[in-house]
Amino acid sequence: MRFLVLFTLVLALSCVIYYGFIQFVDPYGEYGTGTFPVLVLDSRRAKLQLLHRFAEQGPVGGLILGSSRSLLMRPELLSGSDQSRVFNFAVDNAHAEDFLAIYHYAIAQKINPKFLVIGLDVASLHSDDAHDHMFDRSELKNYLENTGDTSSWPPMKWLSDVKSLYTKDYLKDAFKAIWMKIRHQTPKTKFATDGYEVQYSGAQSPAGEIGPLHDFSDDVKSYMQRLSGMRDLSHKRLNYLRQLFTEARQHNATVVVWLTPIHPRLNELITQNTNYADLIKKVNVEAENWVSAYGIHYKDYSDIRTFGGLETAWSDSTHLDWRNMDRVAHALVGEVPHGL
Amino acid sequence: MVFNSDIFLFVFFPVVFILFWSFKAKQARYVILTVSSYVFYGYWDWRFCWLLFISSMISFFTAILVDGSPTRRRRLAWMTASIVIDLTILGFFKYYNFFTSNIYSLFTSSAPPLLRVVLPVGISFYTFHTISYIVDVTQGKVRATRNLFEYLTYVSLFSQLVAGPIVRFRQIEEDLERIDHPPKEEQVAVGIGFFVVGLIKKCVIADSIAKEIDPMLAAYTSMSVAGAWAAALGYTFQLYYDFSGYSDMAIGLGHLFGIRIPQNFDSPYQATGIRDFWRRWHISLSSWLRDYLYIGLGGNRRGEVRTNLNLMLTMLLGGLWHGASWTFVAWGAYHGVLLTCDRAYEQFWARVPVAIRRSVTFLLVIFGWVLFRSATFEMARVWLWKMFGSATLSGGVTAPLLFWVVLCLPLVNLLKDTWYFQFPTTRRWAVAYALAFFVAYLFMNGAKTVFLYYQF
Repeated sequence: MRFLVLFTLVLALSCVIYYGFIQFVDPYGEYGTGTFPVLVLDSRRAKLQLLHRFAEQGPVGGLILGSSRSLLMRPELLSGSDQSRVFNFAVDNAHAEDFLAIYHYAIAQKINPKFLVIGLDVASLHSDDAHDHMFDRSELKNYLENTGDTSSWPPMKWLSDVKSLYTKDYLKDAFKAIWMKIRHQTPKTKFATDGYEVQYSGAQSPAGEIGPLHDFSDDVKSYMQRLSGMRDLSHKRLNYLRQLFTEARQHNATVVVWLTPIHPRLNELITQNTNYADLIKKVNVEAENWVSAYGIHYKDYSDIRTFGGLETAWSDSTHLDWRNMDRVAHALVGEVPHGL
Repeated sequence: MVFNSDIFLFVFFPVVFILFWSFKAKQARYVILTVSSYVFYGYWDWRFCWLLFISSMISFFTAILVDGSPTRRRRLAWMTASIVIDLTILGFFKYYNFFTSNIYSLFTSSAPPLLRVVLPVGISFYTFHTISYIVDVTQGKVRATRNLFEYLTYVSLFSQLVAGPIVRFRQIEEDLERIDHPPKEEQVAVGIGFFVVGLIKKCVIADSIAKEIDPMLAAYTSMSVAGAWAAALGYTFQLYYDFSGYSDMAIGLGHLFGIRIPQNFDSPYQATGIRDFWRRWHISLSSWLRDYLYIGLGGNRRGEVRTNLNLMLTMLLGGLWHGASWTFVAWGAYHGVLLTCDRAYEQFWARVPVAIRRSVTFLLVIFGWVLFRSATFEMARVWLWKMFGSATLSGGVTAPLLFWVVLCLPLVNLLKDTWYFQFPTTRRWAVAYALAFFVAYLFMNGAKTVFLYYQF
């Protein structure tokens, strides 16, 4: 059995060395080591801190929730006539659980927003019910079921956090961070104090240009991957949304939900191959119930003509650039009764 | 529970391993393996443990009755009764809704109702275990064991319970009898070696390919010619590395408990003919079908026509065994036709240069996998049509997929199968195995995948 003992010891040693390496390189900026550039800014973690600081400086009137598609929504455009302070809490790959957990966090921080503007993607209601790995790693996870900061049993939480470091993607990003340091490159993503994205990653360039010759084949594949296995809307995630609407109503907050679009030509290709159009219909059917049962405001902007969007103002095939995003913001302010 | 999960690797396996080697008595080890196998199986859905248990008990007691029967006729009667019960259970859970929906499409008014039947994982595998046991006892090839836990260990052994290999009792009987022997350093080293290679095949190669081709096949109507070929090749390699990876892990786990599970793959893509392919692919199934179905039907002893008919029937049922779908039946029929042709043109084929024989066989197998992977005939038609030029020529092939295809093509053609690896057993190799395991884990962690053959 000495062979097995040696095997186990080497395995354990590898784990320890890897753990030390990841802590030292810190590609997601989680440990504050600061030796290497932060490669992928964890938007959830960063915005939790930013919101905390933002709230210390004055009351928060509104929250923008959504996925990376809402990162470029300018908070000041939703300030309304009373110039409310609005915070953009859009995060990468957001699902319904993110929206509910963020709201719980805000309430726990004594932030009672007067309104919530939620950019809803069809994939935010994906039937796989799988959390984004960054959600699982963030403090937000503790706020999903509860409104207080009650963590799971600390050793298990620690174990779960540590385990999530041991992936090939984490290792790859660690090496990328080292490479950036060697090449003297700077981090690509940065948020302003109100959560707005001011320094952009490749996909989030502020002004994109999708011309008539743009090749959508890779976009189709990548979006197919995102929708992979999504036959229906997740009941679990729909319940998270219903819970959010109920609690917002109890706190007298106005909720505005807008369904995000993808580029019209990608939409056309995706519709040919998947049940995407069917999923949009299902969201709209659900939304009718939300409007009548919870008094929320709902706008289906999956067709860019509904908010006067431009076919060229896209960062990429699934992300509106700032010009289209401003149009969405103006349309939302105009559509919602009494403004925001 | 699956092998590539944290619960298996870091909780289930270490606990069972320590318990197993802590007890020295044969019966205690049988009990530990049986109970742990039921825990392994019940982790998915404990209700189906009863089905496994009932199926095992029926064949266990029937075998004793067969053994004690004075006449051949009575032995055959007991054997038939046991097989009918086994196949009825399998047929109900696996094929009831399939046949009902087909009857419904033909005779709408007189079709029986569809039921909400869940397919128990591994039922096709353990049913074949019990059938082979009862047939072997009837034919006198193996004695009927009187030790219930020895038999339960054989049927439910967690390393081969849900996706094979389909082990015959006589293949592991000797090891089961000697299960009380102390562990050997060499056996543990070989077991770890097999397991690590299997984990790499599954988590590093098969899952990486799946990540690329699954979205392509979800949008198969928009694939280019190059995309259709890349997806077909990708699936060819994914299926091989997924299933042979699983088999390696099963063999490795067997070694760790002192049980030598038989070979299941022998470099199948190096086959020089379709018959040769079936001697190398999923050996435990193809040999099972040969011994218990093809030969049972008369094999090649009743003339040319009957031989070909037997081949076709065996392959049709072999196709249906993989799943309740007409595409699987068609895949079986396709291989049945190929096997018939292989027999008919045997002498001509032998004169063709080996390189051409290998290439043609490989291509024929790929076309078969297109049928095997397609959910519908329409998907298979479109996919094959695109491979033959009915689409734009290029586009849609990702760099990672290209990388895997280019890497796997020489790997499957040049490397010997894991079975033939001479795993080094000196202690310094423990370091290499541990590092390889660590790398495989980085690929595995966070990726929720199951083995392709779990669905069968």
